[in-house]
Amino acid sequence: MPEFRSISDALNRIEEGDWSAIREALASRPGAWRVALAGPPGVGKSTIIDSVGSYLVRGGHSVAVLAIDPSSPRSGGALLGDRIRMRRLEREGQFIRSMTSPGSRPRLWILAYAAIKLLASSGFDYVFVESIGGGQLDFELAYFSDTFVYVTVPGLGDEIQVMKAGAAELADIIVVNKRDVAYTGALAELYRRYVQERNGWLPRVLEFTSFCPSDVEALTEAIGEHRRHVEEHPKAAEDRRLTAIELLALGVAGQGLDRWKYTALEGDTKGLSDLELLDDALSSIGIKRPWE
Amino acid sequence: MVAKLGLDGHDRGAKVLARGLMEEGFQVIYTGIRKTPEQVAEAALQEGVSAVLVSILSGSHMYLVPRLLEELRKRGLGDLPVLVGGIIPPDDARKLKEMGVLEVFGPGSFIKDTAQFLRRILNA
Repeated sequence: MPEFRSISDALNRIEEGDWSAIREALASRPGAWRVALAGPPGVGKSTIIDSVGSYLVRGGHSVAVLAIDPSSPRSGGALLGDRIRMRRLEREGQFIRSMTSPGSRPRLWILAYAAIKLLASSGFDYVFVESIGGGQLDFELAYFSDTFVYVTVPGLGDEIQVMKAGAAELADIIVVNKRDVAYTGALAELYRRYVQERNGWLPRVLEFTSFCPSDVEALTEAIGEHRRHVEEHPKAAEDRRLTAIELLALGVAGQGLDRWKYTALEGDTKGLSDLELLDDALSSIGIKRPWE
Repeated sequence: MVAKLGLDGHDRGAKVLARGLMEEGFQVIYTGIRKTPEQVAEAALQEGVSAVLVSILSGSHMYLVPRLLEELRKRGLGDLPVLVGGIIPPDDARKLKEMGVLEVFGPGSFIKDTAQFLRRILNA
């Protein structure tokens, strides 16, 4: 198990926007499989992380959690309550960290990405990232993770909501949660109708409740299946990583890139770290590196 | 971090405080109820917090708070400011402060005062 104090201190530096800490995280190689969960507030993201995470722990794996909550647009403060749902992971001595970021979303992208990278290179087997709970708009984490899970529940709207653009389009797995208290079949069927195959992967749609051990097992298995698929399709994973770098560059530079990703994808980027790629992306539009 | 220690499940005060401090601009992590001193100290370490505010209404503060201070010290967090609130008799409040608790806030305390106290000790 990694040493928690030094991880916690490094996360504090990242949260303060310390570029040397961010730089170090970006230069690192992720060893952990990164699973991000997005979806509206209250759909069960934290509880799913607790159930799937503790299932993995029982299988001998170590788990870290980064739970992002919104900050108040009025005061800049925040109330971080995701930890409360992760009682089993807490009891089993896993690492749980809450994060918030007053300020712009692009700034949050950089801090969150660096925090995810730091955890992913600290010796954990799995890093779970919980999104801010914005729902449809919460798609950046799809690019900051290896497996992106969209969580929703019945009762939030009709077929038109399922058809709309947003985070669900990027999901590798869609979880229709709370089947213990609501009828999830119809909504799951709608999602199955609209999911599309991307790079040979048809997004899985699961009816789910964290209270049912076989559901927890099925979701863990779906994550594992997606992992095997990604490992067999490295080009798609690289496309995802370069999109993340584009978002980071936008966050640093305040302006978009001009076809940088397409040029980069034509070459072989696999050997380059995130830091080297961000450096390349920024210099393609003549922006100075913030860490110098 | 706002924390509830022991079997005490009365957390209206902790919730009001957590929400009030958020409105004052603080980033507040609420642990939820029924945490052990080890869990609270470990959460403080993982979360990298600047202060721990403990709410206790069960009367077991003289048992739980010293253990929390000990668990924090074990993790190298002996300097972390610890504040206690809830139903604490004045004699106990004095003893807790002697043990290392920075301040005790009883019933009738105003959140603005707690916020001001925190800003002063944290230079925030």
